[in-house]
Amino acid sequence: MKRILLLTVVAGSMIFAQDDFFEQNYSIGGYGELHYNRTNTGDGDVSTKMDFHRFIIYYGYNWTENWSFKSELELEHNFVADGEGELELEQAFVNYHSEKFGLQVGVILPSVGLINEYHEPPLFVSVERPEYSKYVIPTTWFGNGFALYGSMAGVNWRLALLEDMDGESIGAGIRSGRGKGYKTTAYDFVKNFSLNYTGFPGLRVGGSYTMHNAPIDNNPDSTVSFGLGEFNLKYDANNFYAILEYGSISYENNPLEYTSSGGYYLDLGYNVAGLVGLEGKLMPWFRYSDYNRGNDDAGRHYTIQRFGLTYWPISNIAFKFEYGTHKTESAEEAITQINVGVGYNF
Amino acid sequence: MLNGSKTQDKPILSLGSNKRLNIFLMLVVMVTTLTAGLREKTESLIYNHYGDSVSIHYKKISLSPEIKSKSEKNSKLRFKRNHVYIWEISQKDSLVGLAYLDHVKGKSQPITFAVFYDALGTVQQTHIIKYREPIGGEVGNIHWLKQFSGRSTISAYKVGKDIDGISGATISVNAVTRGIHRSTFVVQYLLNRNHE
Repeated sequence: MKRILLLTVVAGSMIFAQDDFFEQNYSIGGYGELHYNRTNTGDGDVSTKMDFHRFIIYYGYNWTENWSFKSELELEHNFVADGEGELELEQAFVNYHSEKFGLQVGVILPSVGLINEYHEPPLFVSVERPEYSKYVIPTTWFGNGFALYGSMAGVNWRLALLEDMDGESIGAGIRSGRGKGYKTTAYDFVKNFSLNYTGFPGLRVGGSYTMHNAPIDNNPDSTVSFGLGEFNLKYDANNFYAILEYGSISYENNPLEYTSSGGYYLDLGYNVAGLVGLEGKLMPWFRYSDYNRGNDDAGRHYTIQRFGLTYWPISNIAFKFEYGTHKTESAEEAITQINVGVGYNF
Repeated sequence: MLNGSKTQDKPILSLGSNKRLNIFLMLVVMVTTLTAGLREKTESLIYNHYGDSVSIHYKKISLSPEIKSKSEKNSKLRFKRNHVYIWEISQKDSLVGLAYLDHVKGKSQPITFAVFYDALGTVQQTHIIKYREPIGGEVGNIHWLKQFSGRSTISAYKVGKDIDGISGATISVNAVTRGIHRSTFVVQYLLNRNHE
């Protein structure tokens, strides 16, 4: 007689989960800097300013090991109203990254100079970014576009194509021509190619070339053309700190009739924290810079000297002090500047 | 050989019974294994370093609360998981070293790294097995990683003083340095247990 079926099923199975350490997650970071500036010319009046110059929030999300989103939202001068202050989406892109190559599409940065892509305040010694990184290379330069990049044996390359610049705003440099991702045209595209080598510890040496035919008043048949070539070198190891950046822009049809602009700056510093028994990094430094915003124009040719002392209690925080002079070739007297600041990143 | 146990995560699913099926038991064992690519790359580097004549024994080691706490406290870096991967390196039945594989979190993605030790717990060689970010990949530079060779639990690991920083790769440098420091305590613990 058939009894109640007693069925015992033991099904043993093994699931092999692949451990590659990746987890879907978001990440948050940011940086910021507070500045005090004191300026005077000769025996003239002293002007002072305190400014929380930049506050940036970084947000990213990783869907997979290869696909992610990255962004930076920036508030400048702590306030936005009546044309004062700026709120900018400096980066917002979808990123495909593999060990061989990568792709970025969205609001991106061209690879030009040391500071445009690596602009966190603890990464440079001065309170303000070098003037070179403002008037020769228009840092922070960002816009809509896409980039391909890759690396091999310590050599990193990147090709970026970005929105058009405003030809009518180019003149004493290209800074005012930046579209900043706001309803820009895309007739010609800014074409930026860069190479750098990081195979030796502490050293980064690189360069880039950027060219563009910027439409005047959004008319692709009437353009201002420029080519920006630059070289950069940074050494930061064994207590030595040295930077050299040189850049030159050539123009065709510049509205101010300049045919070129450019210049350089040199930073030298030495970490003395070990000598004075201090935790962290303490660096006296010196900067010399010479640049112009238009060839053969004494009113736009500047010479800068700065002496500074920067202290990093930890690598993410920098306290900065500097004294310097800023001389315009056509001016009788140099401007004297004292700057104090603190910057952080996380 | 080491006493550290090979571990398996075991979520056991027990399905319910009814009158006709007195017992229906399905046993599922979840075995977390290292992704083949990471394992192959690490083992290739192990043979390059220790020589083709060594024999290697791969293990997944669960971390006891004691060693976890000690290594986290000393390196100031928490473990995200309760296990690490270890290879015992032997030559003619004698232990000549240990290879350690783990990860730390970079700016937003994990950085997978391997540290090769001698039988005394001294770092001999370090490798970044996988870096997943567009920025900060300079931590994979073999010249920078050479700074860790010769270090152990009693060495200093302060970035900027004992370990050179890398401009633009601050987060990765700090994370990898702490991860390597943390590994020295795990390896020393395993070696000590082996001698007991």
